[in-house]
Amino acid sequence: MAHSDAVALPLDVSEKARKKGKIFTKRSIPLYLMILPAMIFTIMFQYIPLPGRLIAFTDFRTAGFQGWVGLQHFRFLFNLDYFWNAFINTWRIVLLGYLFFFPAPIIFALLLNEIRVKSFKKVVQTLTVLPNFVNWVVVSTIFISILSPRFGYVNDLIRAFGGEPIFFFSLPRLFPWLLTYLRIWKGVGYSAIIYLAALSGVDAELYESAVIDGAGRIRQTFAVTLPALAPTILVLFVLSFADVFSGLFEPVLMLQNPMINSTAEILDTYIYSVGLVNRRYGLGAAAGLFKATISMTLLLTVNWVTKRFSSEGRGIF
Amino acid sequence: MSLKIDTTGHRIFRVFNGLLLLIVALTMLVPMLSVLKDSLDFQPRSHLRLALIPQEFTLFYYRRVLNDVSVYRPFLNSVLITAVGTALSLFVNSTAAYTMSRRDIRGNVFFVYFLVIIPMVLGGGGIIANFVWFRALGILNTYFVMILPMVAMGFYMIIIRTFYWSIPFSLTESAQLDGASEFTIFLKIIAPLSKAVFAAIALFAGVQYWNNWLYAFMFVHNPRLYPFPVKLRAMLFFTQDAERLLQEWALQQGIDLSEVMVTFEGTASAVIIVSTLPILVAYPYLQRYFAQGVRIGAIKG
Repeated sequence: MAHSDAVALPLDVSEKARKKGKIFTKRSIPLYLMILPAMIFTIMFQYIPLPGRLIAFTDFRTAGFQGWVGLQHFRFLFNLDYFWNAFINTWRIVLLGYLFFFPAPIIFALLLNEIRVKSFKKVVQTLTVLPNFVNWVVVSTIFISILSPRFGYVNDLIRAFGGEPIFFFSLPRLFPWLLTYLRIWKGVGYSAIIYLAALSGVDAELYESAVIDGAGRIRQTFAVTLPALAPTILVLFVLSFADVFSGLFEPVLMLQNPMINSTAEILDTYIYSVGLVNRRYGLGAAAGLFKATISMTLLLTVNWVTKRFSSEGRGIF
Repeated sequence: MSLKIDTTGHRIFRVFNGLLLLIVALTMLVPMLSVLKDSLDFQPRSHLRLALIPQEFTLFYYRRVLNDVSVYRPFLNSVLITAVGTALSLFVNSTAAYTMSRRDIRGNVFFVYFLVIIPMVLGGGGIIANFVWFRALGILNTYFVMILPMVAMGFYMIIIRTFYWSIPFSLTESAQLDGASEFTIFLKIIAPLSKAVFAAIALFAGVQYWNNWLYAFMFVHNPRLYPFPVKLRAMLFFTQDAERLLQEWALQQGIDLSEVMVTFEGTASAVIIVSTLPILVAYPYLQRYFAQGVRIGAIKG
């Protein structure tokens, strides 16, 4: 954040005049050429597939388009308990995510920021960032092994204290919590990087004057530190809605098994299995469109609310 | 950061805080160390899992992994995908971000909407539409499907652009007065000053390609093209067969199975370590660029 604030904006009068002028100038053409590859890639993989959303209203087979069917797929889905179950499962995980996964790096960064022993701080940071770079394939295997009822050492500990071993990945009620824990385990240190960068930019004088005003440690946190973090938190909060559902696809796919599907089948895994595995493309696309509409509405709403209530009157985008 | 006022309460807080963070760090470290230990240890499956030091040190499992010819091709596939993908991603996003960063030309806000905000809001075509489109393009079951869709990333563009803004515009202006072309300015002035952010983005993109399992899982069904994560997942599935083959191989190697216990978990752990090695090697080198390189500014600018 510090960077963008410190930017000297090169927008003097002559440039403003130039901006109003022709689009293609000797200066701008090379720059447009430089952005061309990104335009091509974005059009190819973000825009051209968009009309494919309409597959939700068609009978689409391996052979291709067979005809329009209107809302038939949606009627089918909305009458399907299994679909609504996946819908609720998705929301349960999303909600737990915002309760724990989102605040975790903020709390972690605040605590780490209080550490004065530099080497300890660095070691903790390095260790906690590392899991982010490990594949979900690996993360899921590590935890399935650690939590295994036969050989996992968590159950060894439980047994050592005289408890019954827990079949962690066979309990439907446990799955959303387990997944949330794994997401935090993998992501907390990495997400904290941006908050720590913002914290390092807080003016020390603010703390001094807070102390002079008689603020204790906790008051300082609420009066100085959190307000300094607020813009970063807000940006990341709004942006988190951009992949509010899709970020769950891979870990859930790795961890789900038939025993826990009553809580571990989410919209994305449902779309995948009905659409690509069973090749009911229309049905999969309908579930996908439903999901995309919700997540788009959410993102736009959150951004609008931000715009409405932020002091500068601007949203994130 | 905070002032040095040592009240008793604060001292207690600091001790607890240090302990808490130590525990957090250990919850990260212990699972990874236990994998490392399992990969180096002939040890009967017993209730000794918490021990992090191998009881009977061996490189057997690594020999097993390296002797498995079927591991090499997926590994090389992933190296290829990661190298090409990272290079392409860095090129495409850093050049696009440069145009976005230039407030003196028309359209830079349009580009932000077109390349970052609208794709983010709409979220692309979704699994089914992508599948149909990739099939029409003829890139299903090719390396391309594991590389091209992830090249242009709005998030990377924003991070790089924010970094460019920290470079004084006067450098560009004086080069312009000297008659340098925009390409020259980018290559000779901007790029050399942006190594930190390029390193951070290379790390992001590299990790993303190296770990990409989902696209291969959904869109590639030719075993010759499988990247390492797909192979890895297959190797991590416990089957009686896999353990039997492993024990036969151990016998051939002259290992006395009555003395030590050769387990499937050992091979699985060794393969996990091998798969993570490239990241572990690159990570400390690239890590120091994080703090300097990665800041998010306002998106629209």
